[in-house]
Amino acid sequence: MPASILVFSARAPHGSGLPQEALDAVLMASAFVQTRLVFIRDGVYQVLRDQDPTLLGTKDVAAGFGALPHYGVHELLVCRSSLQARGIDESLLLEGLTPVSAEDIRVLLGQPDQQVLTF
Amino acid sequence: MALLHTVNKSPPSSDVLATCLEIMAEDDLLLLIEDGVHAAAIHHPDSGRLQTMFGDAGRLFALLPDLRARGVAGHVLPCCQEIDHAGFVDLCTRVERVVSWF
Repeated sequence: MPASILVFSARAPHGSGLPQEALDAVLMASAFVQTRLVFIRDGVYQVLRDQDPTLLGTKDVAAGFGALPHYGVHELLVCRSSLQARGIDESLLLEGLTPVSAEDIRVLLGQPDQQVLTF
Repeated sequence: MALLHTVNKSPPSSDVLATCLEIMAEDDLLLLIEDGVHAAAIHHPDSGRLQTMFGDAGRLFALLPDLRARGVAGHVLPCCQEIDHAGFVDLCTRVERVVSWF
């Protein structure tokens, strides 16, 4: 068992099941080890505010983000570079996110005894 | 200890290479595999950037079967070393961990 797990959620929402898979993996892993969730690349689209997938008839993954603190995941990390590359200002995002730099992610990747999962 | 990063998508169809390059540390290794080997071509628009970043540090690699399959084997950047699967395994033994970008 690793000491910690780092999950990259790298895909846009509503186009594939991968964002839900990432969230499920975080919820499951957090029962065992310290788990961190980083939204990166197109994954940053998952944390835009005011999303309403009602007319798509699909499950709203973002509704599940509220459960994360109950599982001990208190920080939702979002990659600043990915936001900038997509022209997304932090004011367009959900409340309570923690923007991180490439340097911050580099440090996270360097953590010893850590498993990295990418969705 | 250094990490080995693998990238299997080609720029500009995917931003995985750009993301990896931004995040990887100065002593980390990068292995291009599958469609990622297109970035190793000397004619690729990103080739100047890769040559500047990796110079003669010996930290950039591309997987030979993938280069050959895609017709890139004869056009590889000077800073990029071609390795086979045995070489890939050897790289893995030299690093703390492998991080796959896909």
